[in-house]
Parts: sequence; C-alpha cells; structure tokens
Amino acid sequence: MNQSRRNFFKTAGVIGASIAGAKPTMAAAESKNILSDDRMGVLVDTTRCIGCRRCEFACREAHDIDAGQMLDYDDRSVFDTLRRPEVDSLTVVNEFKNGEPAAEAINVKVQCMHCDHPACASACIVGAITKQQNGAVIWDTDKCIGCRYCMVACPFQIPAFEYQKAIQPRLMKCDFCFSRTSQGGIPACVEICPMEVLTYGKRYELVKLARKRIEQNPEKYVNHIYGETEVGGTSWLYLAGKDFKDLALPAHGSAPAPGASESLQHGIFKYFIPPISLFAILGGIMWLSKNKEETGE
Amino acid sequence: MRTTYAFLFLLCIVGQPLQAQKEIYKNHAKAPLDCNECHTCQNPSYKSPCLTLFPEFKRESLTLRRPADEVEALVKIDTLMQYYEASIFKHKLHAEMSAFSTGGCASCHHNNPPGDILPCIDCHEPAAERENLAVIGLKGAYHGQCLGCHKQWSHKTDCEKCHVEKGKEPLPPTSLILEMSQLTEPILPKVIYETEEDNPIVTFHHDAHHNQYGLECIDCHKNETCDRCHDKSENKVAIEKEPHENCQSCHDCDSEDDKTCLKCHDTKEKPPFNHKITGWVLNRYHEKLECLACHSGTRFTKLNKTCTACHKNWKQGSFDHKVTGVVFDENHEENDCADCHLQRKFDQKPACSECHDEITWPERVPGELVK
Repeated sequence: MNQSRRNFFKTAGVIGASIAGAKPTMAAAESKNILSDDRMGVLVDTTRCIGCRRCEFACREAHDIDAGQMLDYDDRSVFDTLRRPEVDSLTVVNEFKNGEPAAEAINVKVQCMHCDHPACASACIVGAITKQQNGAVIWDTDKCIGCRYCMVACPFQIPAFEYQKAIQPRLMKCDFCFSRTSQGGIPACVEICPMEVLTYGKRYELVKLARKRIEQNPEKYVNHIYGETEVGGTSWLYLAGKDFKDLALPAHGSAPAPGASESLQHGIFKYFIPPISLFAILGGIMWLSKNKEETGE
Repeated sequence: MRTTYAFLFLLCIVGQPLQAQKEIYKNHAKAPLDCNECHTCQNPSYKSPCLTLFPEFKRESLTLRRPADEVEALVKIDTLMQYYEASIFKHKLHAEMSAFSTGGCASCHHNNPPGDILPCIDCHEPAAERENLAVIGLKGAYHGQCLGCHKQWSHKTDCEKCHVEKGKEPLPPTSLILEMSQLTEPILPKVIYETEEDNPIVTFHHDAHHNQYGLECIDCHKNETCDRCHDKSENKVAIEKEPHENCQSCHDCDSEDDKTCLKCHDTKEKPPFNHKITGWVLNRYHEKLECLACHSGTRFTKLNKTCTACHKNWKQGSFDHKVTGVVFDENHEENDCADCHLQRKFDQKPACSECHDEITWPERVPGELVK
C-alpha cells in the first residue's frame, strides 16, 4: 500500500482547511448589507437620568408583562444590587455611586444594545435572530429551538431565557419595540422618559448629537460615545460623565463580536458545499487508492 | 419693558454714550450690526421681529435681569390636567433664590432673545418625534429645569411633589415650602474653622458681617448651587469653596506677608471687630450704627474725626448738648458752639479763656454734669 493512513489524513486535512479558509470573506460580506444608513438608534445620556425607572414600567406595559403600579417604581432600594435584564424586565436601571458622598449618584439604563454585527444572530444555529433594516435585532420565537447559544455569544449578556417554564420556554430580550418602531413609532421607554435621557433618531444623527453635547460640555462628559465603535457599533449609544467601565458597561474593542468564529462556523457548512466536496474528495482518494491496490496486485 | 431690554441690549453692543444710544435704537438698522445675527427674516418689523432663537446667541448683555419683587409670584402649570392636578410653581421664591447663583434669571430663562420672556414651548418642541434633535423636547426641558435642583435636595425624584394624582388633595403650599426650606446647615452667628496652618483657628463672625458691616447675603453668596443650602440627605456634605475667595474681596491677604494672614488666622478664637483698636472708641450712639453709616464702600478707611464732618447740620439750637453729659446753666445756654469749641474743633478741649480769665475746663463746668 503506497498511501499510508497517516498520509491520507494529511491530504484530507489540507484540502478541508483550504475549503473552509476560502469561504469566510463571503460570509462576512453577506451579513453586512443589512446596515442601512437610515437605521435608527437611541442615545442614552446617563448624565440626565434620575433613576425614576419609568422606562422599566413602560417596557413591561409594551411587552404584555405584568407591570404593576407606576408608583411602585419609585422604590429606590432595588439599586442596592446590580441588576441584569431578565425575562420579565427587558430593561433595568442601575445606580452607581459617584465618588464623593455628596455627588449625585449615576443611573444607567441597561437593555439590548442592538449591535450592528450581532453576535447572537451569528451564533444562532437556526437563523432565528436577525438584524433589521431599522436597527433592531429581533428573533422569531417559532424558529428558536432554545439552544441558548445567543446568551453565550452576547458581549453584553443580554438575552434571558424562561428557565422556569417547562413547556415552550422563550428567549426574551429588548426587541427595540419592533412592533412600534417598524410602524414609525418610537420605543416605549423613549416615549415615557421624563428627563429625555433617551433620544430616538437616526443613528448617524445621534452620533452627531452626542459629539455636539460633548463639545459643548467637555467638563460634563467623558470624551467617548459608548457604542459608536464598540463591537463594530451598536444602535444604542451612551454618553456619561464617568468612565464607562465604572458603569458596568464592558470595555470592548471595535472588532465585531462574531469575528473569526463566525467565518469559520458559517464557512464550514455554507450551502452544504464544503462537507459534500470534502466527502467527494475523500471518496475520490479512496477510489483512487483502491484502484492502485487492485492494479498493484 | 420690551423697549428697555432692547435698549439695554444695544447699549452693551455698541457701547456709545447714552444719548447716542437712543438714536441708534430708533434706527439701529443703520448701526454697524449684522442683521442676520438677530433676525431670521429679511424684513423684520416691530410686530414680527423674527428674532433668532438661541443657543448660538450668547452675548452676556442679553442675560435677563429683573428684580425679584417685580416678577410673577405664582405660575400655574396645568398642561397635564388630564392626568394630574395643576402644579403651582412658586416663581417669585425661585427668582429670589436665583440671585445666589451665577445665572440669576437666566439659570432658567436661558438664551432668551431681547424682548419679552419666551415660554419654553417656543424652543422646546412637545413631541418626542421631533425634527431638531439638538434642542431637547418640552417634557425633558421642564423636568430638567426642576429636577436639576430638586433631586439634589432629596436625592429622590419626588414626582408627587409636582404631579398630584387627579382627584387627590394637593399638598398645602405652606407645608411644602416649610419642608423644602430646611437648610443643609443652620445659619450660624459665628463659624470657627480649624485649618492646618501654624495659626490654625479662623473665626468668622457671620452675623456681624450682615448686621454690622452691612453686607447683604448675595454680596458673598453669589455663586452657590442649590444643594449648598438645601440638601436633606443624611450624608450631606456642604461643599466648602476655596476658603480665601470670599474673604479676599474685602480683606487684603498676601501669602508672602505673614501679618496679613494673622488678621484672620490665630491660635485661638478671635473676638469680633472692636472699633477701639482703631484709636476711636465708639460712644453709645456711634456703637449702634452700621459700619456703612459712616464708612462708605467696602474699604473701611480712616475718617475725619471732626464731628461736623458727618454732623453737618450741627449748630447752636439744633444740638442737644445734654448727650455730651453737660447741661448748660442759663448763662451759657445762648452761646454759639464756636464760643467754647474754638474753630468748631469738637474733638479738642473746650476753651473758657475767650470770656473768662483763669477758668479752665474741666475744673469749672458751664452748668451741670449729668453723668
């Protein structure tokens, strides 16, 4: 036998890798065309937030979650612990001390950032999560199989899962009030916010607005728009008077979160061509070596 | 009023003598001004001046100033009557307090063009979906104005303080004011600061500065934030400003010269200012006066000691000599002041030698001593 078992694996590996390596650029190019210049966003100016939590109330109302009484949200004891969005609270407001005891505390609203290159959509093996033209990252509950890969993939730890439900548990996260925003409306939280912490508008306009605010009040803001470049840009943008790390907004680079893993993962299975070709080649090799064996004997 | 403000506006811009100002105001189109800086249309008229809405316009001369006793006392805000009872805004009270801040009226009425005070809605659009995102919406503007200070006060949102639920009885304004007027720290008659200097004690006689030296609150408190006085949180910390800043505007202080420091810094508590140290002991009448009754301005310099330098109308008949402790007998009643007080020098010993031989004051008294 001329071809040893070792040689066989060597050849197969090289061929397989070359196929996988050829695909990534294609995959990355295709996921980008959803980014319309007119996509919407929300600018969160944390220096204006007073922690009234009316956004939490409005969000529940808008998503048919039991919201209780509006006045219940005046309870500020919830700020004692750092909260994350949950299945029944798709947005939460946290409070951070501002150094000096006399300085006003800083309140920061947390929800899905609606990434321009969403890692959750990339990780979703059934394609249930999609980035929409208007900027929203939404999901199709009927397609979702509950694998929770999105929860692992999210760089902001946003998606929540209805663990307590035995039958048909759902994935839950902020959907940018898609039923409203897709019809020209504004998100419920933006609508209710009394302090206009939240400004809804075209993302590029919001970036301009944020720059202007920093320029006009350089002593009030840190010179950074969180979300402008983080993980390749997000639809939700933040302004703050303090380092974002101190406000539980993780420091991310500007590379999209899906990155290389996406290219590999998508490339390997693209239209099922790579696996088929791989097996075709393997079959070919087998057939050739078998032929050789026969002729040799 | 409109004319006055427009006039003042021009006064500051052109900086010409007063008479010239009036003429320029009448024909200010001829003045060297760029029309487009103030007017948005080609042909502005008195009725529709189409004045620029700011914030590009930032001339200090446009800052609104109006005495607090001339402003509206209460403003009723009833735009949300379908949800809440009307809120009553104590406008005059806030106007008075605004004098302690740098902004004054303009801390709320910012960027108001010359002329009438514009309602917020003229610049701040009510709808959340608005064209110009750079100017904040009406709801945000209102809440920003109120909560900017009120949240500092209680560190809570206190929504119900302004928005009383429909059908519920609003809080009586007096109780609300009483509650709000609780001060961060009491107004102390005397404050003793302990510093880290060699002479650590600095005594500040707060009441004397107001009652005697004639200073108004706003003479010193002119750059205060609301929470400097109003902060009811438990961990309140009144933020002290740069300590020398306020004192130095009146008290000379030179870090090179120890003598000037010792005026305030001492090893022990200092008594309030006593006029004796100037070499002029105040009598019971002068003692009761405010410093500014004799001294003018903020520099308390040496004055002419001659009585008539201040008491210009003192002459025989208009002065009750009893206050000096001497009641004249009938022989001396009719005398002119200068007969005894030669050349009307009242601070010098009176002379009897003009009429009497060998009689001197105080061995002989021209009447009776009453004290």
